[in-house]
Amino acid sequence: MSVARRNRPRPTVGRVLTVVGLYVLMTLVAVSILFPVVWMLYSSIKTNQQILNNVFSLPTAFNLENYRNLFNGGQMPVWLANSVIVTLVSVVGIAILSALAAYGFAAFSFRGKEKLFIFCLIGLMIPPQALIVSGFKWMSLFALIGSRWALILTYLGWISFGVLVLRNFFQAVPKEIIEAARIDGANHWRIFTRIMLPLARPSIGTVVVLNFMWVWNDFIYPLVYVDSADRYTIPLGILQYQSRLGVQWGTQMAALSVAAGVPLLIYLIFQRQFIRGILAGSLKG
Amino acid sequence: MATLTTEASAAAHGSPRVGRRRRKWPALIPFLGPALGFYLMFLIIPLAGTIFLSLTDWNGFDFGKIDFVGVTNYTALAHDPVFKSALWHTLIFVAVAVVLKTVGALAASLAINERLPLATLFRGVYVMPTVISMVVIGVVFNLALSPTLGLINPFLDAIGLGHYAGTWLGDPNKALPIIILLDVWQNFGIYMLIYISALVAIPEDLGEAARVDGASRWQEIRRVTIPMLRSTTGIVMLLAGIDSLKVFTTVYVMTRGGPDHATEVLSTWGYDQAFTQNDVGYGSAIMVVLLAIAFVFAFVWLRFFRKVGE
Repeated sequence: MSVARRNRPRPTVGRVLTVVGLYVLMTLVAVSILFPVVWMLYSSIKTNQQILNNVFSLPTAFNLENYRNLFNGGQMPVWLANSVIVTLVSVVGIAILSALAAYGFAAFSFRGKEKLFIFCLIGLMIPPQALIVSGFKWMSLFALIGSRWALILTYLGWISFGVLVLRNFFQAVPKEIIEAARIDGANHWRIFTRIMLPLARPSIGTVVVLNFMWVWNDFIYPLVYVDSADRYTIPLGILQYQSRLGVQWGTQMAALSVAAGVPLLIYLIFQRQFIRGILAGSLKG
Repeated sequence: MATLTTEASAAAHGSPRVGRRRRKWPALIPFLGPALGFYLMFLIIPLAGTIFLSLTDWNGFDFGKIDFVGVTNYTALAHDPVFKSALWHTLIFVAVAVVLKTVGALAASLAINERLPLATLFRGVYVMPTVISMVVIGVVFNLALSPTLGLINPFLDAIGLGHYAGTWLGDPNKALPIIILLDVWQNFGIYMLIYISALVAIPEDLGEAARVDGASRWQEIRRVTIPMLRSTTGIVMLLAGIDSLKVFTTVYVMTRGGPDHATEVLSTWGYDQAFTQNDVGYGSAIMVVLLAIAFVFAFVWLRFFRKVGE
């Protein structure tokens, strides 16, 4: 590895102390992150009484009672379904819309293209909560308040990131490939579906993973646009549990674990796409 | 990132038949149209709507009764002490969070770049909180900081620092700093990733040269590495600024702007005015102030974008 190539000075006492110090610091930060997560997970299999007796104690048995409460009596299955439906439809839609637009920006040249592209990036910079007031009234004009469509349509406007990332990708594709396809008589649609999309699969993965996190975790729009408990998405439901379950700590921990578990799992599986997405969004793509 | 400069060359040989201008639009519209349609309908129109509503005195119920009142809402802002403190808190939040996120991300990336064993594990862990919903994190920390159940107070007791135990989020002096720290803790990992990718791109021989001259590792970092990261630091601070300005959920979940408006930020105050007090015009005016700050960041970002492209 490059460590050898670096030709580091021989380990001295100072170097050893620095490394030990670094490890201590890095571990402290890591523990501050891992402990709350692990605590939440293991508390979710403790009974309420066990939590009240000692908040730190490890569970003595693998007890899924809290999860059973959550999924049997509670509305968790409905909220989970809402979150899944809204997230899947929105994310697939965002990917399709932004891939199409990105190709338009990359493959065509027209007057004002640069300005239109910059205009499409405004969405990256706007704090979404600044739009909830008029967004709410706008949606109620179409009688969409309380419907999942109010959320889905709003998220379909979040194309800025995908357009930025995919346009950069499409522009980096060697012009010769497209040129050759055009000489063979392929039209833009064919070039897009047969050549560009297959090439862009990793970048599209990046767009999908990041938007999944954003949509899944979004709280503001469900808070404002959803008016009945059977349309709640998970983040909104969690907050209701906080006030409604009150002192039922065990069940609440289970609900939190479900809410955090899905994006954590996606992150662990798709870490590469996630990291690439962060970098692509920071203009360094 | 030289994509912007390739524009001219793309135009030159991207489409061989530039002359046939009229036939281009029918082919272009199916690509750009759908995305632009949704973008205009559900992002740009609400954006314009916010600005429009801020100039009215609408109560939010009857669409027929929207009266134009000019800048009345904005002059009212000047006499609203809660607005002033919300503006102040927002600016403090952004300033402190940006500095802490940047410094934390830089330090973490330098530590991970030492390529010690387990470095990738640490990197993975540091990014973890970013992907968890702020609602979950807010609720977990509400519990941890709560004076009744609580993790922090018993922990302080256990290590003999019991006299530092407190009401935390109930304390007007501590609530805002806690929320800022939580935001930094949750999101510094993103900026660490950006720094790491920049560190990897720094040529090895620069450090080599410094070492030949007898510089220690620390001197090398201070004199060579950190100056090389200047443009990355610019990007990180801008992105962190834009991101910190989006604070809402953490405050809403943890304190609802309390105690006694001690954690009120522009977005929570605007939300409260529009949806609890039904003063849509006034709430929109507060959101416009937030948008104005966001546009300052956006403007700088665009300048940067162009410069990096050159």
